[in-house]
Amino acid sequence: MEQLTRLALVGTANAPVDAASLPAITALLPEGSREQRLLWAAGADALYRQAGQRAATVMPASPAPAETRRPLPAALRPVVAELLSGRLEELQPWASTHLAECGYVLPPESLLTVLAFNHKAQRAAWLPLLGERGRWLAAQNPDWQWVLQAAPAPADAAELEQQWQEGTPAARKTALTAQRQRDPALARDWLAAALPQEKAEQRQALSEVLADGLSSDDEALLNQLLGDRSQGVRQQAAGLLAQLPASALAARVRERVAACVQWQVPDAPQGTVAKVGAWLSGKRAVPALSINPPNELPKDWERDGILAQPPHGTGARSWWLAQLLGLLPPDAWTAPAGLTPAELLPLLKKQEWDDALLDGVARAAVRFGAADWAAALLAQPALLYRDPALADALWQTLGDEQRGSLISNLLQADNLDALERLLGSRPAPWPATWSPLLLQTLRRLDFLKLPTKRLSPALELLGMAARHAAAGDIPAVVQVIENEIGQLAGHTEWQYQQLRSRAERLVALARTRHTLLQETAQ
Amino acid sequence: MQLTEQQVLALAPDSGSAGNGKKLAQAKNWPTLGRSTRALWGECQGSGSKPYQVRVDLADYASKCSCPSFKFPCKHAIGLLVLTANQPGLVQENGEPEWVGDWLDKRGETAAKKEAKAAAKAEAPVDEAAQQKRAAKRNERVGDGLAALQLWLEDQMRNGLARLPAEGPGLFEQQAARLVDAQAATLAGRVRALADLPGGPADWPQQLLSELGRLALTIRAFERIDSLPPELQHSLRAAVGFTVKEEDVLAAATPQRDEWLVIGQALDEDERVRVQRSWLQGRHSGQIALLLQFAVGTQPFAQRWLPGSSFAAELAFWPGALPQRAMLKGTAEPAAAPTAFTHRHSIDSLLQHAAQALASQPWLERVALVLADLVPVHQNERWYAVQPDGQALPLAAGDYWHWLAMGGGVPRDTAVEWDGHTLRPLGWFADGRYYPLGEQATWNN
Repeated sequence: MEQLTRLALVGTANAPVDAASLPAITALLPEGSREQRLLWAAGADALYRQAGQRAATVMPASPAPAETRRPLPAALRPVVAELLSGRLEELQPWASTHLAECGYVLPPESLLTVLAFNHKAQRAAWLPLLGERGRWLAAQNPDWQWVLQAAPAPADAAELEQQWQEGTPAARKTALTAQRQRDPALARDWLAAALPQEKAEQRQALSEVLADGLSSDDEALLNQLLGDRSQGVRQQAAGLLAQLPASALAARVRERVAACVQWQVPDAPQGTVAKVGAWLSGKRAVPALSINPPNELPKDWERDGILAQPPHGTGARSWWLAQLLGLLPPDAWTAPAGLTPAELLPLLKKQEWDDALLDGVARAAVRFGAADWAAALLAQPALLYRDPALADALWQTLGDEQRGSLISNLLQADNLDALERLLGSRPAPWPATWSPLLLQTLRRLDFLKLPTKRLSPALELLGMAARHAAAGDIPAVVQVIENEIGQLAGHTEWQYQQLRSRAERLVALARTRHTLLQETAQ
Repeated sequence: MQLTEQQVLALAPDSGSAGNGKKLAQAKNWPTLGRSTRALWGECQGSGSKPYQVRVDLADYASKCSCPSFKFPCKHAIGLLVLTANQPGLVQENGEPEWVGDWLDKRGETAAKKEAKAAAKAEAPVDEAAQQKRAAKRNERVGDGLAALQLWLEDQMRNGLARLPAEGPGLFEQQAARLVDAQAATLAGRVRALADLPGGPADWPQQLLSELGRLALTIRAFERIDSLPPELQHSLRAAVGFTVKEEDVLAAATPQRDEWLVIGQALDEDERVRVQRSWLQGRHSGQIALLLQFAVGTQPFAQRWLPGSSFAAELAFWPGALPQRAMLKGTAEPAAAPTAFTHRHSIDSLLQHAAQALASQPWLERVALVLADLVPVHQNERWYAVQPDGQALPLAAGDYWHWLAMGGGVPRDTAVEWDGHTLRPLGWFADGRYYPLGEQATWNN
């Protein structure tokens, strides 16, 4: 056939010699022109080859291992298919987490959708639901490597060490995290040995592991990291050292704070924080702080991870101060004064460097997990607007009860806007006590009487209820929303129409959530 | 009745209907549900006050709904079928309500009337002289068309194929149009299919030459058609583009009665026409039958053959050396739901079968049958269908991750089409349920 093809490409007019075909074909060819014989020989050859086709040899891979998790109940399959199709998007983070916690695995027909996800948080949420079949598939397609990288660390010590030595950056961090939990000292040795060869980004990612099970044994390594070339690594090390009260850095921080922040108590020349409580209980004039951050950033501050360059719109000295205070345990403010954060905070707000003070205390509250401070700070809605990321970090330090009372206060103050900012994007389901609180407020709401600019936050509140209400409260939430829809029905103005269609979507969302909760409860 | 969601979605006219149908497949939307031996029904609560009444005939999965949708089947019918597939326990055996029974009875009457009409036509006197004259005239036209095609083919050989990539597809399209005028439509389609080949795949010169050579052999055969056995004459005429009317097929053929399992379905579409191939296999005879349906644009197909379902019926086959294409004679009756394929082959045996088929009917486009224990394997950027002993055939270009995900690498009996070059998987059975592998299978995502 190759010869025939070569002849046909050139053309019989341009090639004097005929091409040879299989003898069996040539013998059967009738008389004809050169072109005819070429065509017939090629046609017969094609048929011969097609009829004589042989199978190739390819060895099949082993089938997917059996699932260890529960299959998704049939009634939930349409719900999950709907979620995966991108409708009711805002329900996805919660639903995927919930289904994963219930120990389900996705049906095979849904796996490809999840494997194709690009978003990091979305991938993480759905990952456990992929099951054995999903991991088996991912191993066969380079585009789906993220699934394998996110696999849990092996239990076997030798395998773990191999993953640490040879794995991808993400897998190595997984291995180090696992080792830190098993044997903190060994993990520290691994890290110390590996650090000199790592890039800055990886040094930072790996040393972050020390935060887990942090102890004074880590101080030497952290002090070494404080001299790192990378600013990010230095900053992280400083943050961790600050959490070790006996560390040299913690002592330096205390000294520096004492040097530039002092209470000015008129009658008490000692002027220490300890005296403030007395002044407060005596209801005397507001105690003032004398604050005097350095004019030039001292070199030793910079070495301790304080950044020189302030973000846009912040003064340099104020920025240095905020960072320094962020390294000071917040009970250094409250304990000596014998005051609660809620009592102390208004005082701080009245000071000259109030922004830097609040910012610093808030950072410290997050770093040291001081829930009482976080609650007091979040009760100041201004903070929510200024730095949403910080507000989010503060919220994470709160317990359910503190979150509940915070919400309850905001509800009573009718501060829907602040509520929306605080709760709008939170996937976590609410504790049972919150829904009744919110429902109470919602029942009071009358969309038609609300000023236009408050319509959106009010609807958002309904959305939060639909997304977060406890299972038993969902029917009540649906009822409240349907009441609003009923009220809006007669109004044709566009803003009410738009509101109505958004509210209808919320009903669908709440119902889907209800189905999901009911089916998974069985 | 053991339906799968994937199987049912193969009935959907488009992915939108499939998606909407799936959304409706939740118990809360269906205040009433029921089934009998011959039908399935339900009332679906829509946005209106009155629920839509949906009914499905289990013999051929025809459906009717009281909704105003022009899609067929509508999302409600699909929703009902998906719900039945996923949660069969919800649909209890029940007495047929009037609105279901009436519809079924009416369907039966219409089918009976149609058959009577065909019978009457078959018995009507024919003007044989006029018919022969028409046939002779057509033969002449086709003969002239093929002679012109032969000259064109020789021109290509003389001037060489190397210049064709520069010529563009027009050359082939013109020749195809001439063949359409000469009433050789099937050959026209084969010529048109070559238009994109020059300059395409690496081995395009060989592929093109093979096809041109086979066209030349067809012309040569047609010149001597009278010397061929009668069955082969039929096959050759079909390969050129002569058609046999359905009523003539019904009148001439000895129908074959069997319990037919729809082993798979394939859909080919170009800008104008969609062609659906439903492959059946007789439970007792093992005979393979091909039901062809054509639809223009987005029009639905006239009949629905649910892949993986079974029905008892008589089929009438088009005449030919290797009868394959068939049509339903009379009406179909529901048969016991199949839980597995009945006749299975190794890849070697498929290749043997295909070679024998080519020997008796060299214009055969493709064969279909069931391969035992098949898995898809992705190797070096190519997909293969593989049996446990390592025998493999290349799969047609496409994405088979869906198949791999659904099958989990467990070997399954799988219905396939083989066109002599690549395999096209159609569907498989697992644990007594059928999973289609057509384009519709991916609507599931």
